[in-house]
Amino acid sequence: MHYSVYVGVAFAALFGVAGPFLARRLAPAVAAWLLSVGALIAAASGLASVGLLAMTIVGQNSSLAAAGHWSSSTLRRADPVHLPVAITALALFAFGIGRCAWVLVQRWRAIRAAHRMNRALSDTGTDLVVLGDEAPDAYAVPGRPGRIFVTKGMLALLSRDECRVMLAHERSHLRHRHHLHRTAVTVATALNPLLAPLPRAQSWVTERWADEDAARICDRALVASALSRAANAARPAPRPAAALSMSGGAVDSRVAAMATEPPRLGWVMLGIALTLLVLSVLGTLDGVTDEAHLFHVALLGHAHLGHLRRVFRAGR
Amino acid sequence: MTAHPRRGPGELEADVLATLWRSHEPMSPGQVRDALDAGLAYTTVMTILSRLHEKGSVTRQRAGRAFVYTPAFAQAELAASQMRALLDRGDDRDEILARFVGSLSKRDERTLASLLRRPARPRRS
Repeated sequence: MHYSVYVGVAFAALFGVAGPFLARRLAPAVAAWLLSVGALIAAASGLASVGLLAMTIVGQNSSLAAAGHWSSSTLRRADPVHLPVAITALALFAFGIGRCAWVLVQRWRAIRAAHRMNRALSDTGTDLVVLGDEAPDAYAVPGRPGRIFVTKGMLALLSRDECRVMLAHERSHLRHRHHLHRTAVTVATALNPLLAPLPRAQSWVTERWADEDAARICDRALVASALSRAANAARPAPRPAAALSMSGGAVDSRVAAMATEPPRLGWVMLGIALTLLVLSVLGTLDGVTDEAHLFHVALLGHAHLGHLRRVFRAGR
Repeated sequence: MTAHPRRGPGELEADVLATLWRSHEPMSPGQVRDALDAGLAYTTVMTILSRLHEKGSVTRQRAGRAFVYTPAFAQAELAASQMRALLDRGDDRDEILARFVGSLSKRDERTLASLLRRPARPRRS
């Protein structure tokens, strides 16, 4: 096995490190899609690479080799992967799958609870639910339909126009299903721990996306003032785990972003990110070819051994 | 800020409801329209308010010739649904109910008793 399999892992890791940096320089909607789809690709590619390394040791199991008609001894001799590396890869593979299953169950439960909460409320003629608390708080709860929960305290705190900004922001979370974008990145990180910087970046990017959507109905200065006022005063109470909130995540940098022009797409950054992903996938695919070759040799070895045995028996 | 061309369903309703909540007094449709400042027709505001009233999101009283509107909590419904969910999740409904009733104040007990004596109402499933 050559180095291509490590190349796949390396570029997946590079996407994890560079992802947040690149995402901050893209239009938020593009960045969110890049992070969620890119994280899943990088995770799949990383997992496949680790799986390929693990296969070399799993394939040496004699009963498995007999069932697959390849030669475990030829595989052992031809295998360029060191034993500790292969064992580590096997452990990482199992750990990744296990952690991913756990995270999936957690997220599924959280989203199901949010849906159930929305279903329990009857049709009130609007997507706004006002809670009686005096402590300012506002959040969006995904569901069919999703709803925006706002406390009396928050409504009293914001001006009329800031209030509309807040509603537009939370509505953007619901309309574009930001909870699913965040789930995608969380699941990818569970599969591949090298992507650990991505979930925080995705939270920030989805908040920015909602900010930009709010800025479509009014001027950017108003969004900035609504943001800083809501975030400074917010006293978050217990809420559903799948809820998204305007006061969540790096408010200062979001207020600063509102002071500048709306972001442009950012072709260069997108190009860099996509290149990393393509290289990661290519590395992994090349690794698959190497591995196929390795097992092909082992299959030939098995056939060759069988031939020798037959010749030996005939000669006797 | 003036009229906005695109609004999704329920969005105008949310703005009207938020306006009512921000006010400390009941509002007439005309007052709501002025407070919204969104270039809406009086009849539009009127329609939204009566829809919200139908759905139980606002209450109204007669003031002279017109109605004035006050926002109502959806929270009572939310709390009730959470209590139902707890009951459904518990293994022993009778035990949960017994403990719940045991923890009520005299006033709550009287309310509960009078609610139960009422003829059966249509129930949402």
